[in-house]
Amino acid sequence: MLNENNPILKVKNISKVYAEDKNNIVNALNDVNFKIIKGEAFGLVGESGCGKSTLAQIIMNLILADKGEIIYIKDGKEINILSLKGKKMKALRKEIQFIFQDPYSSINPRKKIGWLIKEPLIIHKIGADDAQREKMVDEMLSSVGLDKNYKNRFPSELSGGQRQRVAIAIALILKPKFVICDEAVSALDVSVQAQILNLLRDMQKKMGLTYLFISHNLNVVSYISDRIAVMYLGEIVEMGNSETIFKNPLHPYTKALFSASVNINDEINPVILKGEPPSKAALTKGCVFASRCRYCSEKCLTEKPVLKEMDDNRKIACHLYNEY
Amino acid sequence: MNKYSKYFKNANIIIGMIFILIIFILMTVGFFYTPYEYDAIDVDNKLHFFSAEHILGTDDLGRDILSRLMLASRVSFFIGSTVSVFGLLIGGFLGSLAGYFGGITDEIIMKLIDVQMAFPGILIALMMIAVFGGGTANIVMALSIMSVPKFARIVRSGFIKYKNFDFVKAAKARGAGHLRIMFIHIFPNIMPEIIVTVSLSFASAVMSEAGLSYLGLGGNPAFPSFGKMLSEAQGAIFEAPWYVFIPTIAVTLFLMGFNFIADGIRQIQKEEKNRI
Repeated sequence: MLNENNPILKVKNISKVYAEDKNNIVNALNDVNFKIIKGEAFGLVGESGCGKSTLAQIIMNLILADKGEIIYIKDGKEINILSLKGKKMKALRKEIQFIFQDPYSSINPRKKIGWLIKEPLIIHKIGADDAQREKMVDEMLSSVGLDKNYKNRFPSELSGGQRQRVAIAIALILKPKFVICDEAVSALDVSVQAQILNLLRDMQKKMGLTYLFISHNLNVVSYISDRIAVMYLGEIVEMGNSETIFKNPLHPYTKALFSASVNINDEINPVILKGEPPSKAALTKGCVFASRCRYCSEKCLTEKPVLKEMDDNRKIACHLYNEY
Repeated sequence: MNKYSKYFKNANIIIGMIFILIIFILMTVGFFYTPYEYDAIDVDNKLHFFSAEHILGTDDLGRDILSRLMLASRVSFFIGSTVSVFGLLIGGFLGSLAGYFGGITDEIIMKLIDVQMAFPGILIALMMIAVFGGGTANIVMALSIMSVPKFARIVRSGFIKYKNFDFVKAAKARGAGHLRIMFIHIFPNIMPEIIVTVSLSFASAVMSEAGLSYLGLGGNPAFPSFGKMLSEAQGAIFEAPWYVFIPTIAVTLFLMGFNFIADGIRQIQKEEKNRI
């Protein structure tokens, strides 16, 4: 199945600071590291504003990182995406695609569906002639579960779920290897969420895709992901197989996060966090979560915990995980 | 088809279209037929009131006013459309660069445009005519330069609004180049605003041309234009007061027509925005 030694993407030491001026600094990402294995769905969870989307856009080379590398492995060769420009980047864009959160703003409202799905083929000069491209569009439409005659409609004539299907069709028509879903179902209502998730899963099987699945919704992430990373204030605090993390979250933040997500079989006994996430203006000396952690110790305030490797692919950034 | 039918149901647009159509028909007919030669002088019949021979009467040299009006509308249409097209091309190009790339490009372009806006438009036109001489080409050039800032600003603000939309990011992520994003993705989205600006700049070009010809700075002195007719009529205002009204009404129809159209389009946009 999934082979730890066969990664498709490595995120190395990525840091990003947004600075309006000297007094107004946001540390969006701080030294983020992880690997995504070929063929898996990698879930990235965390609350709003923790840097998930920034990371996704850095991977797409849509915004620049301040530090670090994004290594994409293509046919065994390592390519640092962040150093690519112009034609080389354009060629790589075929391999990595993006599905946005809001299907109302991610699709150009002035263009017909058929044109929108065909456009990537034209950009990358795929397909011998227009007839062949049209055929590819038809096939793609039917595989995302839309009828052919949607080609001549405008996005405003479609529902949210249909639009997201179109967005998926646009992303997948180039036959990418790696797809980033940035909150891909969060804007949809729950019944449609399930359909879109199933569609994403089917397409993953059919096309051998690797997903980076970003969401704040734990149920969604647990449904689709093989592995999960939990992010807090621009740092990864825990990472591991989806099932083990769900059954037994170790990091106090993960515990609080997961207990907040209500499951019908659970006894409701949530871990309540006090206060708000602190501002990201200053890098803390110690653990990012220290200010809200109920186990916080002296060491947590002064020394930053690093991601420690544990058994079964699990990593955790906490000094005290085995003490409580 | 149904995408555009809403534009033909709007009362403002219909009224505006009718106004402009009146002048347009006058002009079109003028290409094939005019009751008299526009410069046929008939001193025995000067300053006649409306009659069967001269439907809109004659001017101070006995020339047929209707024939002159038909030709004058040609000048207005020509200047209005060329000025809008040039203004749109130059202003649209500058505005899209400024809006899309932002930063230093934006600063430089917008500062230049601010400098240009600091001059009153007519002054620039006067200066250009003084330097390069009169003639339609120079008037078109002067008025085009005057209309550039309007287009540049409207296009720039549209680009600033849309460049951060997800669909633009999505196009980038798909590998679309800057030109494709600018002119295939963003431009169609600001088309309604641009059409409004085009119709307003058409009206203001017609107005400015009339003003310049009234001052005697228009194109070919022998060829009639609304402004010139007005200045000729002024001399005969006590003998033939109706003559003043004829070019005035023609210019008014133009201005009101385009303003009505612009209002109608704005109204429809507003309704669309409210619906979303």
